[in-house]
Amino acid sequence: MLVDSIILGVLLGGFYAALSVGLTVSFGLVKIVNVAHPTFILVASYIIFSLNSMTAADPIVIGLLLTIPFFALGVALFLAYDRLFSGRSKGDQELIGLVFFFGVLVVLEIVLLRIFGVTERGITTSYSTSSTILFGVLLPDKFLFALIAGVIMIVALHLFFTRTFTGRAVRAVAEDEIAVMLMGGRPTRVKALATGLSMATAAVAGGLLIMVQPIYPSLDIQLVGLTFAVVILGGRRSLLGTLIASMFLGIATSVTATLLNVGLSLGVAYVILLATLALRPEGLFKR
Amino acid sequence: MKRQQQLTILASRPLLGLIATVAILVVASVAPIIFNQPYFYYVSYIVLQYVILATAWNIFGGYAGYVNFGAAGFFGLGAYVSGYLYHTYNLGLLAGLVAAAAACAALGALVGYATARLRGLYFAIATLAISLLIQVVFINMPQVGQSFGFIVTPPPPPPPYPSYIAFLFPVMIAIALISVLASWFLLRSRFGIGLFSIKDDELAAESVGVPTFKLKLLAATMSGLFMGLAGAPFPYYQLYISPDIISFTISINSVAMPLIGGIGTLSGPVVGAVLLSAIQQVASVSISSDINVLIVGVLIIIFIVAAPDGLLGIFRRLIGKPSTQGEKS
Repeated sequence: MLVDSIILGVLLGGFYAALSVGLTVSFGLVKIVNVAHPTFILVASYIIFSLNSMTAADPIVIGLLLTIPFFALGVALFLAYDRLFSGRSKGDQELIGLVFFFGVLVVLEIVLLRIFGVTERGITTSYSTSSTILFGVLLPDKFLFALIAGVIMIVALHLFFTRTFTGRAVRAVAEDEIAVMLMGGRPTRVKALATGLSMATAAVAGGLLIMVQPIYPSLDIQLVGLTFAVVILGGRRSLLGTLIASMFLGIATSVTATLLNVGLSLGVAYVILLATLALRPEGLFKR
Repeated sequence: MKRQQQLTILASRPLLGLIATVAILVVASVAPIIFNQPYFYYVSYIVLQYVILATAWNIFGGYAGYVNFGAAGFFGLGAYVSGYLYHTYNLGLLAGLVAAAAACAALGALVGYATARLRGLYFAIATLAISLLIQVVFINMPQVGQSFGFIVTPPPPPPPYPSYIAFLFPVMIAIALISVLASWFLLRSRFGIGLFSIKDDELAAESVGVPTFKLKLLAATMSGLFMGLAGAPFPYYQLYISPDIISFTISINSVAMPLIGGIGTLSGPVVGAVLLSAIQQVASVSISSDINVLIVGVLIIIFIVAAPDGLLGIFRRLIGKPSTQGEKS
């Protein structure tokens, strides 16, 4: 029983990683507090829902196709943000950004509400209810896919940020922007690229989200708590930290749901977030 | 300098302020007896509730610069405490107000204590998590009806008031006045100057001997207390309590109203609260209830981009006076 819920927690963790990886990139590396990231995931989910009801195409495939327009959206978002707020003082910028993105969150959420209403929406696929038996444990296929997708995204981005020149440039900008400029780098372009990547992950996460659970417009605020818990616990800037923190939170919520009740499982994520902030704000994996 | 001059002018006329306060209270207490318009009280209740919430938010968020994204949690805790006392022990509004104020002041003190480690962004996220957690706790508490909540049937209104909601009008006016007066007292006192120094540069303030931690604790406690008072009468107004009242709309409004009026000023939050909640009431009646949230979102974006000093800042610029808030020599 407990072992089952821990294994399910790992699967759930992979899903959390997919939801949070974009926030690690924007919040941790570009230092844009995109608290609307979960709302963009929801937007992707709703677009995928509409396209799926028209074409009956697989949600994950549509999600992968959506990464291209979402990448462009991310680049545009960064350029707009940079234009609007780059003049403000450094200390204020994060807080101003936070309030700004809360505004964006609210606007997007209401737009979704006006278009799609409060009704829960979901997509039923051939693998929605099927499961795979692995080492004698029943694994729901949809969570298995979410885990695979989450791990692939994290590993791919990790390799990009550690092995490629452009990826290292992103980390260099996060480390010391002025130094990069002195070396002849262009921080704005690098950050725009990273924000685009962050937004591209939201498209894939949107496909996973609507596959895993029914969605409704006000779901985003719960996801804000969850994704920030993951990113801050994981040390804000480390992608592998995000993966491990996701697993930890996945197991914690899954075990709580089994031992206590499902209603409390989200509460556990908030408690972990508050405990991290109170005891170790730099996260588990300080670099 | 400018701010201090204005404050001395205000401070030199305490009698005038006292007379005005008493006059408003008397008019507000008598008006519902003569002027029986249920819809007016229904709308003005919400406006006053937001005046209190925005003023309370501003005490910590505006003066000291700690952005609280969990006002709904405080408001909800206050409403639940007062509603539970009435529903289960039949204790009336007065007991509810006292208990809600105590509970939320304690939560505020806890939040203030947390600022020893948490600043800026991390503080904002922590407050959001607190309000989400409070909601989860109430959803799982059988004593308060879990996700269904419980129904509140208010007692008969104290005579000569025609209805309970008419009676709530002077109550809300009184709470609003007390919160504005407290906020004003804080602003003109040494505490206020200390809090502003924290906002400008906490490390510098600390190093010249400002007791930053004590001041933050005081401001956070006061802020929480008034948010609790804003929530305490709510069960008697809405006639039921459910976890839905801890809505993100309240948190976002509590940030948006001071922002729109003018963060860190005395009248800014009041102006923002009256304007925004009046617009929201009209919009939710004439268009749709979710449009009022859209209005907040759009206004937040516009003001944070184009007018971070709020309406008061715009007004001051129009009449050619420099902004008194957030002055940096």
